[in-house]
Amino acid sequence: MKPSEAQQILSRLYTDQVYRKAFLAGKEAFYQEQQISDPETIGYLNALKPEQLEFFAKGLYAKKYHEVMRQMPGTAHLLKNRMGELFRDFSKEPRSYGVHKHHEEALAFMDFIRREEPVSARIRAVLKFEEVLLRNFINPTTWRICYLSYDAPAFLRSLHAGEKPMLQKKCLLIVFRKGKIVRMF
Amino acid sequence: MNKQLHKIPFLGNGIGFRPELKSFIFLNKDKIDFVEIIADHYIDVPDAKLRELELLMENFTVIPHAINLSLGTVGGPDMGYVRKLGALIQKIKPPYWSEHIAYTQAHGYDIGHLAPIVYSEEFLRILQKNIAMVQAEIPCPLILENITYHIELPGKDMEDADFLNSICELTACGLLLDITNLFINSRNLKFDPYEFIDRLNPDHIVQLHYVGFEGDDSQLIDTHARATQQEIFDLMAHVFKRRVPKGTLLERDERYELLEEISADLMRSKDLLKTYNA
Repeated sequence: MKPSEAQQILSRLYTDQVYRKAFLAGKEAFYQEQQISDPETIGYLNALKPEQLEFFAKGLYAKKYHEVMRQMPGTAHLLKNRMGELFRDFSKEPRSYGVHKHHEEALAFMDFIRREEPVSARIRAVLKFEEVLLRNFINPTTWRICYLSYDAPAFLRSLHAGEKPMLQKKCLLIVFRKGKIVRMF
Repeated sequence: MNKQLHKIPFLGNGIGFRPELKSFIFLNKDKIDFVEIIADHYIDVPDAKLRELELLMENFTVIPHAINLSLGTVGGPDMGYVRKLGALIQKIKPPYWSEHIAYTQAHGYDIGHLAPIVYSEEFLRILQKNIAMVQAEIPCPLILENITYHIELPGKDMEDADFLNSICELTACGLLLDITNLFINSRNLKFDPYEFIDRLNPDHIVQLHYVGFEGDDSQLIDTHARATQQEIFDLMAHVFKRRVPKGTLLERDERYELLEEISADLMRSKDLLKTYNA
């Protein structure tokens, strides 16, 4: 089996939950479904230890989730356990990112939440603010404006400070210059 | 040790720079001789982040540590990324830089973290070719780090230590020996870490990484979140008996609030350096 083929199958087994589950559920059915008939490839895949594959893949998933949570702590705080459920659904589809993979994955996840979850106005406000912060990091345009209906900046400040976070209804217009807040009305 | 690596100055006691540890690092300059930055955190970033880097460069020797080069990808590294990395290294002008013996992407799949390659003659050639491509673009000395792996891949035909020796010889790279990764692998995969160290060519060892591990008897993991255990310092001392590295580095990524713990780890490493470097 060519190393590139092995690497391709392994990468998919590590990152594609559906593919991995099918492999672990029954190898014969998996080979049939994936049209894998080369004896060398089958021998290679048979030599993988299922418990090690599962442990490694779960570890990768946990690290990704942890990194994404770090990029959107406010949204994670408000969504509570639902955050994990949503991330599980989001992760079913493997994706590819650039240099700022954790930031980019968090942005893709934010898009996913907006599409898939009917969140309240307060969660939407925090999500929007955290998204703007991430976009400012990846692509700090000269000017960026963000309108919020809740005081998400104060909410995040209290969260970072370890205080009891309060999210007050308040209309805010925030002006960023090169990624930094310069005015807040 | 090859000429290029031999020229690397002694760096001493270091810590991985994380923004959460910024104040601690600047307040503990007596314990910290150099810092390692995650290179990817300073590529394509806002000016404020580059100013942070400049401040670090004014106060410490800065070693760039790359995490996304994917040296083990069969198809070769992303040369666009290599050029960006090269520009950063050119800006910093460090005595060396580091990356992992691993791959993070292949065939459009972004694994998201470091995945192991097969320790085989075939992968030795793949890695050698990829490293040559990178070295042609980035002339600064490169040192390679061993990773933890929880999955044993079919096709392995070399012992881990032999693979590390060979890749360093073939590429003139140094070794960034992660003591915690070595210890974790030794427990999970049942081998003797002392024998592993004895099997390594000490001439290749340029730097050490260390931090505490977590887990139980069934599986240890590298969370970079715990105080360094005695077993790790014992292994470090064993390396020191064979070769005092150019630098040791605490790689802490979580629970930054436990500053006493972090400080104690740095002091123990500093003591080791003092004892064996005297």
